[in-house]
Amino acid sequence: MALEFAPQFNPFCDVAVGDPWRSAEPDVKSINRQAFDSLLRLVTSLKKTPNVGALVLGEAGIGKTHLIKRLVTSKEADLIFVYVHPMKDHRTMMSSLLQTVLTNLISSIPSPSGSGSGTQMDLLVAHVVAAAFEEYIGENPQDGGAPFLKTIQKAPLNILHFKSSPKWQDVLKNTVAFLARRVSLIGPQSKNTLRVLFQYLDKSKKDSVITYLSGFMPDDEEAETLGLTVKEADLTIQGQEQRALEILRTIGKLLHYYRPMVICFDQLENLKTRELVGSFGTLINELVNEIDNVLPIAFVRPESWENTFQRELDDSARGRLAANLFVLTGCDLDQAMDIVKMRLEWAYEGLKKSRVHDLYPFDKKKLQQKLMGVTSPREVLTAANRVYMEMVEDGSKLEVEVPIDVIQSNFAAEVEKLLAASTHQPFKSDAVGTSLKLYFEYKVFHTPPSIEVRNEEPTRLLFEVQCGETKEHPRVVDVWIESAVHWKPLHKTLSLLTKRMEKGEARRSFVLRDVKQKIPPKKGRMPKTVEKLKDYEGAGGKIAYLEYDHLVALYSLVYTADKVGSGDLVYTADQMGRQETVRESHLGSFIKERFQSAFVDRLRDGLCNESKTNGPDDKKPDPREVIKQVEKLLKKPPFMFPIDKIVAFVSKKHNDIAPTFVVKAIGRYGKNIRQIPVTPPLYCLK
Amino acid sequence: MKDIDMDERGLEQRLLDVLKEKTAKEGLRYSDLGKACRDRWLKSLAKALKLKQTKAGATHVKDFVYALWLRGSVFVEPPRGRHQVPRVWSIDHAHRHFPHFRISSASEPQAHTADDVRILKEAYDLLVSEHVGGYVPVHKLRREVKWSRDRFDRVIFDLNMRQNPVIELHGGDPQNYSESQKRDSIVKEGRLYLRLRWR
Repeated sequence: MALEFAPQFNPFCDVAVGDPWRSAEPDVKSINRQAFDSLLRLVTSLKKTPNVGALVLGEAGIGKTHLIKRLVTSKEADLIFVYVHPMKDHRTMMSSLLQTVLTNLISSIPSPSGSGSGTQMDLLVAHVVAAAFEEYIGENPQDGGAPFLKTIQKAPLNILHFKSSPKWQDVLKNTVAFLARRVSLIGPQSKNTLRVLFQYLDKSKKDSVITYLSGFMPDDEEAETLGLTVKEADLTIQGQEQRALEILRTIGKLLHYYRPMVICFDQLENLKTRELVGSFGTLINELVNEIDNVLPIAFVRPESWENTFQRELDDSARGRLAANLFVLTGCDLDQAMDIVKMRLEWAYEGLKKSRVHDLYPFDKKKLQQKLMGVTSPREVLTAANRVYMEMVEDGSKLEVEVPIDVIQSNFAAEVEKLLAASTHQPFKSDAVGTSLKLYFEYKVFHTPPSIEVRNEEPTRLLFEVQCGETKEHPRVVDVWIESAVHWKPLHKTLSLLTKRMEKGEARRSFVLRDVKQKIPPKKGRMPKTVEKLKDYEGAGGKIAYLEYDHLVALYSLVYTADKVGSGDLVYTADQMGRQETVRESHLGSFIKERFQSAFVDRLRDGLCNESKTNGPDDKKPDPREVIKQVEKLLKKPPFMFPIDKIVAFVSKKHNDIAPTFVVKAIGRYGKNIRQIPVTPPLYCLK
Repeated sequence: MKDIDMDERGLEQRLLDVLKEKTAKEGLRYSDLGKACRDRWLKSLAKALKLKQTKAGATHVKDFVYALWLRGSVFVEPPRGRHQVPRVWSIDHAHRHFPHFRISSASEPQAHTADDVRILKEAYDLLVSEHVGGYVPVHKLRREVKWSRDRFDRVIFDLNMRQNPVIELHGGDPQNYSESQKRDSIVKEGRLYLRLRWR
């Protein structure tokens, strides 16, 4: 190193903020302050004007992600923030959104009083109950509950402490009556939603409540315990979508007693078909027209808005979004210098020695010259990195990056992010289907058979497997990703797939399902479905359960593909520091050469193998053995490695090890290993 | 007697004097330019750049020249034939040796006139209604004003390379543009910019 006093890490090396929730990268608040303030004003005015939408236009690297981070961490307005990845199935957008909203509502957040933690859902319920209690005390001052009211008003979560008291049922009855007096909450679906929502506080029913509030109809037995009657129409996709809308509408009304919700639709460039854009338009219309206290914000690149959304989105949705248009502006020279200053401060933070000036090791004038006219914050970092590398390496050239390395780092960061989240992502059948399609489209197998894949529907894949060298008819294998909980849609799927095998339309078939939705969930449950499953397996079908590790790998691949699709990943293309955007062809190379998933590999074996017992079951090495390997690597210079390098090293001993497995092993057993929270994270020994 | 360090102005003046003196026939390589400026200059440059070493090297000379080149104070000839590295010229000598190349210099008047800005803004305003957010494709604006390539680039850069830029340049997605549209866009420091926005 040529630097006399070096920082702990290069603060300019990666310029895309990976995870808006956790990223430690500093933020220059003056950049796009106007857009942020206006968005906040919209949020705070939702109580008066509850039906609005917003559109944020900005090029890649202009600071969209930083704006999102600012909204998430804002102390200026209390809000619930929901981040939505681009949806893949145009038929189920509303239920998919509801699933994401629910995942957010049931995530743990530090309680406002600082004692323990609760979820947004706890707080929502507590606020509603508290509002009802307040009204009751106002009408019945003789009741004697007034002293409690003050405590509850201070910290509404306290009301949940009465859950075990004999009066709790009265409190709930009073709340339901309070809500029933609100005209907007007396429809049959609202009543159902409210009935289910208050059972959320009963631990034994929590899972069924979450299933229902996520848009799925629980199985008969569970539905009965929740007081629901399942109708045939509830089990169709249309029924599911309608129910999701009604549930969200009810939640929106209840938010009036708690806080508004911001729903951020990011990377919309990835809505690549007319159907997806059309359904997105419908979704926006419904959110704006029918759901109160929710602000949908669409984040789009200007070109994509112009070329796709302006043409394909219906007038009404376009108008609703564009009514509140925010154009992100780049930075001026002072702001560019501030970006560099804050990054340096971040990298030198905690070191005992102090720097001679806040731009050390840069020369102010020289840096100003380099940053003159650079308005995109991402380009500012690139330019600063160029100067920094020249200083560190004593004038030697910049390191040229290989695009698939950039993809791999991002993939590892996505894995990391999903594993570190306090709540697991739900089973998203559209993301699983998209990921599998990507994998089989790009992965080149050096040995026969050749595999062609097409999406019959986003969650239903049809594989054509060509065995041997002769040009015989390809073998058809069905792969269905099934997330239904109720027995009726499950029966329908299993019967259809069994028939297809019996008729010879498909040679084999696989049903992929969340490991948390096993059939049967408990011994003795779902007897008829178990029978159906036996028939299905007898005909050559196999049900394979995806564990969270498997899902993390598949989701990370889709989220990485979304970043590529929206131009958010860049690489240094030459020694002059020229930045290029990572393209889809690079993603293809990554999948072809680097992406590994033991689950998908075994699914591939299952597709090719005639044996009826073969399927995508996973084999895993001992995590303690893996940790030994990791520690061995971390003892080598430069003593600090990103996860992809660690996985490559561990793979020498344990073939085909998944990055998710290594990250999880470090989290659980790597007591001597420290993670440095940069993007992508680095690991070193403590 | 101990040498007195040169300040930045002194360093610049010395380098320009050397170029005036030595580049009448041929430009100088960075290493030769450093040598021609002599030890005192190299030492002063090292101090000005707060380097660890006592004398600046060719890389530092290159950076110093780059800053002058940005301001139009020197001309840099790209490598060609047996010349493997760029050559630095004084503006006056370069004018004589490269008559077809338009070289702006610090002594020239401002790179654009108020009229240029007005014409450009009027053309931009004409196009902006078609582009939500004001992200106008560069090729459209270039074709609208019908200036020479050099004039258009110069005015755009001048309005961009400021402490408070008037124009923002945006990358855009090259896949959405034809070859001729890309040709009529703008390249800055090796990067293609397809859209611009008036701030």
